[in-house]
Amino acid sequence: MISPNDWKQQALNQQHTRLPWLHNAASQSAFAAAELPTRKTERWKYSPITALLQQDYLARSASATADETCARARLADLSNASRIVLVNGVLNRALSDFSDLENQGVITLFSMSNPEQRELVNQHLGTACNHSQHLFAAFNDSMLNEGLLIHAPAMQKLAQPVYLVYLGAPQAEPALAQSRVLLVAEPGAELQLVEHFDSCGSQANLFHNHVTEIVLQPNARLRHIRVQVEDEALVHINGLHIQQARDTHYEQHGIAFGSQLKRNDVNVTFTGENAHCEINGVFLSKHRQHIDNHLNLEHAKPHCTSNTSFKGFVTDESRAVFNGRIHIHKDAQKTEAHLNNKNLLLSKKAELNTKPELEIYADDVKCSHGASIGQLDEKSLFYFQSRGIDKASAEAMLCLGFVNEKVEQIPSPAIQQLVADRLAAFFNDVDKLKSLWGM
Amino acid sequence: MLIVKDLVAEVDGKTILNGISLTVNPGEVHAIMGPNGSGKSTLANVLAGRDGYEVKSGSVLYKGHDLLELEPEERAREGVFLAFQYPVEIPGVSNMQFLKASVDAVRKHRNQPELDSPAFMKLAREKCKSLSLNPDFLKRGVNEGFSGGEKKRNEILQMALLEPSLCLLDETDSGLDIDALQVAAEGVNALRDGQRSFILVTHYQRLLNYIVPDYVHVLSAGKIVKSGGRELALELEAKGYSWIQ
Repeated sequence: MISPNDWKQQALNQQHTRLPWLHNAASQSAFAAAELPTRKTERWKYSPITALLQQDYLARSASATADETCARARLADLSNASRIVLVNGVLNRALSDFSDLENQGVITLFSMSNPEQRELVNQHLGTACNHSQHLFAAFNDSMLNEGLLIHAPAMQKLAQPVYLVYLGAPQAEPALAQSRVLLVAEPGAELQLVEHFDSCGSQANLFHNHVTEIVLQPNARLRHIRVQVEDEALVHINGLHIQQARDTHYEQHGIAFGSQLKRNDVNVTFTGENAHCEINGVFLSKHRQHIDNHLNLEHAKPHCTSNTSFKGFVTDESRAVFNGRIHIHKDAQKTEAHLNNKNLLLSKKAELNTKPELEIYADDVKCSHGASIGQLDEKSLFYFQSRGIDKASAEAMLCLGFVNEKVEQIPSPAIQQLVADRLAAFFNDVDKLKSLWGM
Repeated sequence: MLIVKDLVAEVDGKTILNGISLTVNPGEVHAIMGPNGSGKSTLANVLAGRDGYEVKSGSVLYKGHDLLELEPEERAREGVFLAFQYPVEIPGVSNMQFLKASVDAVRKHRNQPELDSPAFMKLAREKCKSLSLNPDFLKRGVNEGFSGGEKKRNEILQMALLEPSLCLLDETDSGLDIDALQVAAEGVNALRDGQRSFILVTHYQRLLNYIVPDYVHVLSAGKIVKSGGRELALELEAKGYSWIQ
């Protein structure tokens, strides 16, 4: 095992590959200044990063070749979408199909950007993220040699969704894959973004460090679907940082499977009044997986509303964390913010830590937060049994039903179908349900 | 069909059924009436096999076999059906999935061929129509956001699809307006075929205007204190339960 300090030094030594025109120097020093999380770091208390230190992931960059048949089989049937497929963080043109939007200048790689786009990147990259708190985002910045810019033009509604697929391909030796997305929606722009994280084969040798930044300018609207259904051996640290200007509307629907170590940070900052944010998610962990969901909503301006609702399904010997924080600043009067987290904890050996947090400094707000941890409802089980369904199948159906409630809200039939298929495979392999599933 | 003999049952250490005996022959409709807390719903739940109801003594023979030996799902497959007083809401599982899983399980047990999805869909839609239920509600979560009337009609729908031999209706009339009551009753009456037996648990004789029973039993403090014909219900309605206690 590598010591945390050696890891940091090794990470710092990798900086030279950064894109030269990025004059975002703060992030380098920020990374140098940021401390690696330990057990004493509150934000990482329940998620030791030992998995990350056990292998020499930083020794090399992951190779970008994937088995094409496998890769194609992973894709959702989003026929009208502009599809961008990254294999271990690197764009794969053969699997992608986004020439329309590329030609219009809506989507571009950082390395192929024109001066105007570079200016846009320099203007916004890293602004939605507080690097001192997000070490891995700072690390991502520090060696940024490529990224994807999505630039939604003002007052336009993009007819086709932007479908980003992050595919992990198996590696012979431990390797690092980094990816970076910056989405800037100009005033009045409207679009749908689908982020789909998936794998072809075992990810035992992969560390994926991803950051998506979203900047919504006044009146912009974004519908965001996030699907994380990767192989369970993966180490994946994911930061999503959203800035909402006045009158913006952001809506997210997500599903995430656990893995060896999975960390999802979602950070929303309201920079203008009258903006609305809606986040709906479900996370599932089984076997010895680990998943950590950290949400932080910065209500810095008045008259904004947010609604956050997460469900967790935790079983076998897995561990899951949910931390949802609503921070209402002093001037953020007339804020309305609600957050809840409902969990199903099915096994005695599984662990769940949930912490909804409200921090309020304004005096005229409407807020609620809550969390619950439960088991399968006896009444519901009996209802199934009284209809001839055996207890084991009833349990399996109730588990799926618990998760499905969130899946049904995903505003895309194609993604719902993809998720349904992955869920069937997920449940099929839950130790506790193993003998029961298979309807 | 069903022979209950000296049945004593407890819930949380408290005796609720205190020696009930009841014989139901094929095709008969028995109404169980009685004041709150007399054990009516407990009887229905014990027969369906709900956890938490402990049978201390007595016996229940169903079609000649010991019913109490069976798991709830086995009872259901053998033809015992309980229409719930408070049907459970199960978001995330569609009514269609639930009904199909249920019918599949029961048909498999009875060595009947499994219905394929289109055939099942057709059957379910037909039954919906006869119960004045919008077929759209097959797509919704089980009982999720259903009105009281819809929930009860959903119970009757399940009953119609599962074709049980013994139907236990636990206060199917509670929470129903007159129109919904009539529809539910018609659904039940349509299932009366001279072979299928019914036990109706109810507070009010109102339901019995629509589903006419062969026998009426009055339950009090866990015992049947009076049995009679249809006219007993009317007498109860006029005089109240205190008359019998």
